[in-house]
Amino acid sequence: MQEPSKRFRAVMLAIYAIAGVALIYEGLRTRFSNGFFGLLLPIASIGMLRFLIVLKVIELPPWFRMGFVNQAPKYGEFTKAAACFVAALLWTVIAVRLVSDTPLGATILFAPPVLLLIAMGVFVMRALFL
Amino acid sequence: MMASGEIRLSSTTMRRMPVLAQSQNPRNTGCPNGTIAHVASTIIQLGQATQAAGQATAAAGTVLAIGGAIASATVVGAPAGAPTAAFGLTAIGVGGATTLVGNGLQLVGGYVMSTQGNGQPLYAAELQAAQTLIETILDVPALPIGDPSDPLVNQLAGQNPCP
Repeated sequence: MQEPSKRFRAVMLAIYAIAGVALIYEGLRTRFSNGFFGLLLPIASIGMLRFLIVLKVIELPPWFRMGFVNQAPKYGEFTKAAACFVAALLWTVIAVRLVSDTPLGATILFAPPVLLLIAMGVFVMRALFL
Repeated sequence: MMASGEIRLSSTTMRRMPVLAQSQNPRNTGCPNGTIAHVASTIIQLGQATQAAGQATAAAGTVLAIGGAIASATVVGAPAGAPTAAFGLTAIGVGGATTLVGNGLQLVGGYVMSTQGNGQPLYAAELQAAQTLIETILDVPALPIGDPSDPLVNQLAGQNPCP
């Protein structure tokens, strides 16, 4: 995408400045944290951020790569994360019926799902950042 | 004549009222004891702490990302703006992954606890997992102004009857 002109950049920033002032005014009258505005405001914030990045009004550093922001996420890694999550739940459902109520039984029951869930977190981060 | 606002029960319901009054909430049938129940309770608490840490990281990341982006776009030659925004976005990703791990730990611990007799932690974990999933689909980032759906989730989950 082409570099935005100074005029376009100024118009975009003016729109966001007006929207920001309107939101602050509304926030002083009501409470954003409750109701529809509380949900809308964070959605609009990230939407604004992505829009400005796509239009190159904001230029992220060249070393920065992140899924859903400036590159496609790695869906294969998301699949591995989902597999780890399902495996952790399956292990729990099956093992709880088989183990005895002893320290060894608790270790057999809980150690694999905890490790699988940590692996899930690692795979989610790999999907976003690698 | 029936007074305004009075609730009229059917004769069948009236006959069964003593039985209904004696019945307990099936989700909270008792407070389990034993090694597995204690470890499950610890796992649930660990999951809650992990989820809270993830949400706090993501909230801080959102503030940094938006602050950095505004600085980068408005202040001419603000060299720290873009790296701050990038750092904030990274924190959003790490915080989101940590929140998912916390949700998972609560689901595992809650399921085991439900098989031992206390279903409230599993019910609460299911509600929180659904909340995270819906907000991820809607692309709602964590912000330090409070989640508007928290009161509803807390009200539906109720209190854990066991210490």
